[in-house]
Amino acid sequence: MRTATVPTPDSRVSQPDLIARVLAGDRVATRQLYDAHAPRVYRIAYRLTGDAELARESTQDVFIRAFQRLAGFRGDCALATWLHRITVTVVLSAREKRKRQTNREAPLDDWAEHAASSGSAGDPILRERLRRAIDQLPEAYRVTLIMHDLEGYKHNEIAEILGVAEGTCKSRLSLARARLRAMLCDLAEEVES
Amino acid sequence: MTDERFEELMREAARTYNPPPPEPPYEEMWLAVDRALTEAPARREDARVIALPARRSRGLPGWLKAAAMLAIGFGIGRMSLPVEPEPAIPAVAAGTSVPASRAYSGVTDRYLGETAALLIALPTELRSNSVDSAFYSRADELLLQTRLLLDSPAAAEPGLRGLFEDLEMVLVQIVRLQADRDSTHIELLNEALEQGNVLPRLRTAVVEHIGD
Repeated sequence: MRTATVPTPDSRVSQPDLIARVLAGDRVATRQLYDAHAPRVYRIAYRLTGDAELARESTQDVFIRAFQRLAGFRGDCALATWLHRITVTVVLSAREKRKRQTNREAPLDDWAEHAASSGSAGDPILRERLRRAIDQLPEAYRVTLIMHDLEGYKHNEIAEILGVAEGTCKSRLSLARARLRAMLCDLAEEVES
Repeated sequence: MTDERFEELMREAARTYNPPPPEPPYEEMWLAVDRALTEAPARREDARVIALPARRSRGLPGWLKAAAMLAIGFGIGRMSLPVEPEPAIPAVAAGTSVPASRAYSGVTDRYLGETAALLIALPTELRSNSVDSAFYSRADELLLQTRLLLDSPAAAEPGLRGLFEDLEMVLVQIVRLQADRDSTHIELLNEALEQGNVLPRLRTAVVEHIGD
């Protein structure tokens, strides 16, 4: 289900060479590394937050932290995996902080606005029900579901990013889907009737 | 719901759940990253050393002192209470007048104490050169308990619910450290503990529960 239009890191650039150049202070290489990975990092950040400002801030934070600590990257996984791991941690931390600051649910008045902002045709009530159901999942389940079913990551990739066993990842997805089904069952009945 | 209908809903979610905008502000983000990197050059510390602010480098960190005090106080409190075997999942007989949240009190007490003990042991674990798998499997068990408590009547109390949610976040990050002790993750964990004021809130919760 991975979206075909998502840019992937440029395979023509050798990862160790690029990292060595960045560490040597080559600003062109730094920009090159950013260009190669920013689309995917921003995409994950946006999917997990649904908030343009938070996704932008998180993406910036990910790259600032990553460049500052690139010397500590041991190369025991792909650079993309390392970056995505930082992304998930930074985004969830920022989301939690924001949640504490606002400490409120989106008011019902926001429904129409949010539904319209998704920019797709179709049933806005269905979209909103889906959004709310996914938002209600425990965070570990929500992240797994988004990465697997919405972003098309494989179980082994998610497991590596989240630092869990592949089996844990599969069971989380299965539980997330079961909970979603339960939350949305009345929706199916409404549509079918 | 049929499998086909559910898959249809998932496809709809892939299309409409937080869809990223078509033109993300890459240039604007790059300028912010570039500016930050120019202002603060790369750190050179060992990736395996806990990244704590300089003001915390003399003696024990404040939160660790607080956590140690909490552990001592909690231990004394537990020793002064009669020992009763507690079921893993509280059993409440139908028709009893015990409120559901009270039935979870013993489980919550034990959970709070064990989580505090784990957090106290965390800095030592992170400074160690070897990974203690028992520590991380305990963290994983506590993470599971956190989620069960979040879905239980124990979370009906707003203060406890907020604490459970913050502890879930912290425990997720601890569990993740077993696979990768990257300094960035350690720093984020420290931030989560500090920003959420987690240990002082945990101490208060333990004291309140012992007092019940």
